[in-house]
Order: sequence, then structure tokens, then C-alpha cells
Amino acid sequence: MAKQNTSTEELINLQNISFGYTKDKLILDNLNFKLKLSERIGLIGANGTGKTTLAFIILGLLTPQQGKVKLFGKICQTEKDFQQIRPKIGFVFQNADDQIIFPTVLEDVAFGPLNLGLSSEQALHKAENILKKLGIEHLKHRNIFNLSGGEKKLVSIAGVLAMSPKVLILDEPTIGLDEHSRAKLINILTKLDLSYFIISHDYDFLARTTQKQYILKNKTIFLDNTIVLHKHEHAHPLGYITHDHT
Amino acid sequence: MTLKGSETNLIWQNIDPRLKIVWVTIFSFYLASVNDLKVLLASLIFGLIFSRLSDFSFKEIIQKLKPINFFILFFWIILPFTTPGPQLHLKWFNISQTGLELCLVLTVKANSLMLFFIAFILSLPTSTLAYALQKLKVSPKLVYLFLFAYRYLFLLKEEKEKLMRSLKIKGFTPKTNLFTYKIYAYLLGLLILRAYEKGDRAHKALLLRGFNGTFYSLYVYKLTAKDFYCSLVFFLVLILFIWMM
Repeated sequence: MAKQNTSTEELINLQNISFGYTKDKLILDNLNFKLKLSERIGLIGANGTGKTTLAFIILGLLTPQQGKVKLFGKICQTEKDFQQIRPKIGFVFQNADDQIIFPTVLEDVAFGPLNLGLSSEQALHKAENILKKLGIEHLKHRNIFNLSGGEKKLVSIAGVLAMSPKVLILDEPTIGLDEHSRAKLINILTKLDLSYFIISHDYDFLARTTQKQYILKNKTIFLDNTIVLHKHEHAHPLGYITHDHT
Repeated sequence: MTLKGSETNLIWQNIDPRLKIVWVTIFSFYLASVNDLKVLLASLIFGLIFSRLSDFSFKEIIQKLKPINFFILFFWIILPFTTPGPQLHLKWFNISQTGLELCLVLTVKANSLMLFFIAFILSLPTSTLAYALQKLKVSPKLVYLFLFAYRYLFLLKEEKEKLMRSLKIKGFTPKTNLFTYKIYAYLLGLLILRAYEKGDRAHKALLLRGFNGTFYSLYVYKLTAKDFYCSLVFFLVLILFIWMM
């Protein structure tokens, strides 16, 4: 157990990562990054700086030219290494349509647990539990193409959470969400008992959901303490009508 | 574990999906080869009964039958006037009797085949169908192709609509000239590229969700006595068809 202790402390550890889609042009250069247990980190960066690329490297979908990817204290190099670790890292795609594979909600949410070797009864139970937890149980038998953007996002998150990951990586989760769905997502994320790492441009969203914010700039990542994120009181049409943000 | 649905539909829904696939294959091959109107009419009735046993309402069934009947309409327009053989003399024109019969056979056949398909295949959840096909040792590539075509055709259509919208916004009006064809060629090219990208992302998503090449069904089916009785019923229906000839 004592040996495992250090490994559970550091969930993600990237050491001297360099990566470029073409050989002569690196987009990540000598990058170091750590995510510890129960940390909630936000990652900000301009378009095309390689935020999603970074996430794909962590998940082993892209192989860096140089550097080490250490997940849960274990160095991962081959596809097989990553395959074992992947269920522990939940990745939520920017576009929910990329993530959702089956035409009905329940089937899709249960897909992950079934792949992990759960029996159909257990998988069904788990999927239903997650849907209840996210407050979208009523969508259970709905068809994916009749769902709104916000509902699709929540379904894709449910599909990831159903695999009981230890870490969650969210790629631009608020894109295309309205005020209500966004508030719902904030509420869900802050209540989760998970470490996560959010890639986003939505500063207000990051301020509400994360403790630390990193910046991806000049091909590397750094913690910028000079930038203080703060929550915005927001304005929206029909704001004078009494409403709540749950 | 059972699917949703009212009590009367439960038996139909709990039939082993493999059995359904096997029987629908037998029925469709048989019905496709039969040209006897009596048998086809009987199969139409059985098709209606079976599709009512599955969870579809009459309205949904009619909706699903629409496209195929629209297609058959063209046969009704052409065949009665062009087929050689004995002619029925109407006031101003002649109608071929064989053509008329051929159209009738075609219509009944297509509709009853479709009804059987609705009852046996469309009533299955997609993951279950993929799982059952896998269990029947259908090539995995075909199973993936089928499953992803089902989900991604819709997404591709959406993608096409997006592109068409952006064309319209830029003031594009299709005409019969080289420019229009060129634009359509670009459109098709873009669509293929986007489909490729989508496929790549779907592959990533599958990997991330622990997919290892085999599908598992969310619902459990076991071959039990009820499957035997249902098979017996299907067999008797088939015998009835053969006997009617």
C-alpha cells in the first residue's frame, strides 16, 4: 500500500514533452505538467496553441517526439500501457457528437461500463445511476438526434462518468452551451468528487470550477499568478424576471 | 432484464435477437422468390400482425412504409402501359393486364417484406442488433459498417446542410453551368474530408471508452422455451405459405 501512495498522489505527470505535427515545427516544446490528486486545474491558451493536442498526448492518442508521459505513477509508452490506464482518465470531447456512438441515450451511457466487463445488469444500473446524478434521467430512452446541445453535452459527460474515472479532462466544455446548461454544468462539476483538468476560454467558468489556472503559451505551460481570475456577475436578457441558476 | 414496453409486447421483445435475424432472413429470401399473389397477401397480413406485436404504432408503421411505396408508384405509372401481353381496352387507351398484375405483386411483395423487416429488425435496439450479428459470426467489419452508417449518416447530412447554408449565405444560386458543378465538386470533397475527420475522432472516442472490437448487448437474451415456441410459430407460418402455393 505504501508503494502505491506516491503513485496515487501524482495522477498525471508530463516530463519534457515536445510535439509537432510536422518534424520541423514543434507546437509543444519541453513542456512539464503535473496534476495531483484532488487538484482542479484550468488551462487557458489561444487557438492553435495545442491545448487539445496536449490532452491527446496525455491519453496516448498522439505520441510525443520527446519526453515521458507518467500516468498514475507509471510511465506509459506503448498502446498497451495506455489501454490499461485509459478507463481511469475520462475525456470529454469538445463536440459531443464525436463522443456519442449509439443512437439512444441509455445505450450510449452503458457502452463504457459494458466495455469494462460489467454484466449488462450492472451496466444498466450504473448508467441509470449516473443519469439520475446528472439530473437527466428523463432522457433515458430518447434518441440522440432529438437532443439539444446542452443535453448532448451532459449525455457525453454521463458516458464518461459511467466508467468511474479517477481524472476528468474536459475540452472546451462550455462551447455552445446556453446560460442555463452552463450553470448546470458548473453545479455538476463542483459537486463531483474527482480531480479534473479543464481546457477552456471561458475565464468565468474556470474561476467557478477550478482552483489553479495554467496558461499554454510559447509552446509551454506555466502557472501565471499575475492573472487573477474572478467571477463575473453576468448580465442577460430578461434578467429582471426572478430566476435561479441551478 | 427486459426492454420497456407494454405487457403484450414483452414476449416479442424478449425473443432472442439472433433468432429474429435468422427468421427474417429465411422469410425475406422465401418471399422474394414467390410471385403468387395469394401467398403474398397472406404474408402482408402476417407482416402487419408481427409489426403490431413490436412496439411500433400504426402511424409509425405507415410512416416507414411511405418511401418504398413512393418508389413503387413509378412502376404503376410505367409498367401498365409498356408491358406486352393481353390488353384491357378502356375508352382512350389500353392497359396491359400482365403489367397491372406485375405491379400488384411488386407492391404487395415490397410492403410485406418491409413489414417483416420492421417487425424483426427495426424493433431491436442498435447495440443489441450489433451484438446479435456478431454472435451469428457476421464479419466484424460489416457489423461496424452497419452500426456506424446508422449513426453517422445523420451527422453527415447535418454537415452537408451546414455547407449548403454557408453557400446560400454567400449568395450562391445553383445554375446549370460549369461554376455550379465546380462548387458541388468542392462540396463533395469537403464532405469526404469532414467524414474522414469525424471518423478519426469517432475512432479516438471508441478507444477512450474502452472499446476492444467486440460489442456487448445491454439486454440479456437466452435461448429458452419461448424462443422454441416462437420459432415453431414462424415455421408454421412458413409452411402455410408453402402450402398455399
